[in-house]
Amino acid sequence: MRSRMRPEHYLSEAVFAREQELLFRRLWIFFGFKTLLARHNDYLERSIGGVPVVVQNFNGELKAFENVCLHRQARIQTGMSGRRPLLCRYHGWGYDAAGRPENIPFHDQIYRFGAEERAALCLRQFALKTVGNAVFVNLAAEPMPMAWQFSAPFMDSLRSCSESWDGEIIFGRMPGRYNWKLAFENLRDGNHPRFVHPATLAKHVTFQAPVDEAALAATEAVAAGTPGPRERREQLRGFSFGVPDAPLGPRPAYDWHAHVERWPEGGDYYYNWLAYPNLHIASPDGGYSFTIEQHVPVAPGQSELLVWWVLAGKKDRYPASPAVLHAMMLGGRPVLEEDIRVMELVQSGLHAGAPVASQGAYEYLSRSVEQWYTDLMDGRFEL
Amino acid sequence: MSSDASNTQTKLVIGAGDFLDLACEAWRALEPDTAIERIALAQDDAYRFDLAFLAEHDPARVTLFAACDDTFLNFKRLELLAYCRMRGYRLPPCIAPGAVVAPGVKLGENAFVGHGAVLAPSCRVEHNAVIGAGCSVGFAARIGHSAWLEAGAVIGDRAEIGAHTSVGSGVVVARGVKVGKLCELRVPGLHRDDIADKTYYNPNYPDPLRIFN
Repeated sequence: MRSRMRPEHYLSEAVFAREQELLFRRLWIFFGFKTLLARHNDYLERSIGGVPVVVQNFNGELKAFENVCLHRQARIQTGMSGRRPLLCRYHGWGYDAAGRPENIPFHDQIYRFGAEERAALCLRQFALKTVGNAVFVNLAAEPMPMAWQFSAPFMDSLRSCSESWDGEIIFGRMPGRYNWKLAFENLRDGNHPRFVHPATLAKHVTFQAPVDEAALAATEAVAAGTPGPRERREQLRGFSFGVPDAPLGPRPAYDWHAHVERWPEGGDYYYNWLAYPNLHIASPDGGYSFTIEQHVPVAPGQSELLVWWVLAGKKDRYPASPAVLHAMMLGGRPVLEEDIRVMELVQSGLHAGAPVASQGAYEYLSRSVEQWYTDLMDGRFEL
Repeated sequence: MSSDASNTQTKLVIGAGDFLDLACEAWRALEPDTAIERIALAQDDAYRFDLAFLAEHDPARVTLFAACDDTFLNFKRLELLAYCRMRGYRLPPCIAPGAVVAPGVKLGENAFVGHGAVLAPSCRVEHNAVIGAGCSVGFAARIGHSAWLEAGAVIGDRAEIGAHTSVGSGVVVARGVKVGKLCELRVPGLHRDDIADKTYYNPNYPDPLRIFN
């Protein structure tokens, strides 16, 4: 079966711009961790779909705004995470929980905005939802219900696992010369670990690439027809799931295990969650620790992988927990490097006339994503 | 010159890796009349030390030195130190021959100063900190407990290195700079600004890793 994806989907600036508009500014995008927003004036800031966004705690209420001052367009909050009022460093404009500049220093003397103009000054506010400890933002003016994008079982699973995350989080970035979509294609591919990670991940965990005959038949049925809005939403919901992906063999009981509250639903499995379009969560040890990864589009041939590691919630004070997180981050890096190298291998082979990919039966989910994606990009439906 | 003026006749140097051998050499040179016994520690698959052998020795007659490197943000060495202290052992600091330590500089328990390191007046080296060969620690600088300075690291006057922080070779911490605890500075270069706790400069990442909360 030939893929629907064309080389331009991985190479074209126009396609990239269209993705930013149609996907990253219309879908619910993972933004950060609620545990980093626990106190008044805690904030997180980063860009989504090219738009700088800040999520700020206002006396317990979380709000998402465009992180651009209305005066001279300076970024209001910086540094990814912190605790300070929503106050621009450039000229001191201070914003309230509605996004209005409640304080403009020396307003009457030097600004003299009229009442109507002053009343119209308001930061663009975005929709925000939390699923357990995971914060999502939607930049659309009329955001779709989250239930259109994520199924109830998926949200239950995400809520359950994320509520077991500890508040101490290690973070790092890994740039790569690959299109962001290759990451999700790679993560959906249960056949790649044995070839890409033979001495690392696949040495300890055996992943399978099963052919779900019912799902394969359903995918082909949808592909043969003309999906309506209901089918489109069902397709989209099917792109996100959380599963016990592979059984774990015998493992040591590390000292730090006794200090954390293992995820109650965790068993002896390597767990994977994929949340479309670009979020991956894994627990490689059955619920003692979790890695959260997000492949952020930078350019058609460039992505930035954001990596977070958390332990399950601490039961008691454990001074060496930073050392555990540090070890997790550095220990997981070789696997991510191997994935990045192979995605770069794919990207470097792509050109305008490159052959279209050939897909096997086990790649039915990718075919479903591709149909949905290419139909969206080609304007056959709208979100 | 010995770092411990007691009449102890046996010293166990326990640990692993290159630092174990380095420490043994330093103690043999410092205390030629002391029986220095090198003990390479085994670890199980959960990284736990096998320390049962300590029960065979008398803390009143034997001193120890814990010689683990900066594995696990220096917690393994601290774990060893704590275990030995709880059993009543003394772990005097070690100043290797060739180190230049200004008069009055105080070293904490189980601290180590390597060959050719220079410690300026008024600096402080807290317990379990390791200063590698050829390091330079400036006037009134402070090296926190369980810190690790690789060979050749340079710490400026009045700078502070937090507890459990590792500073790699080729790293220079400018005068007055405060480096937090539980950090790693592994990328050669000059640091002129304070560094927050739990920040990790690693050559495999373009930006430092950070731990939040």
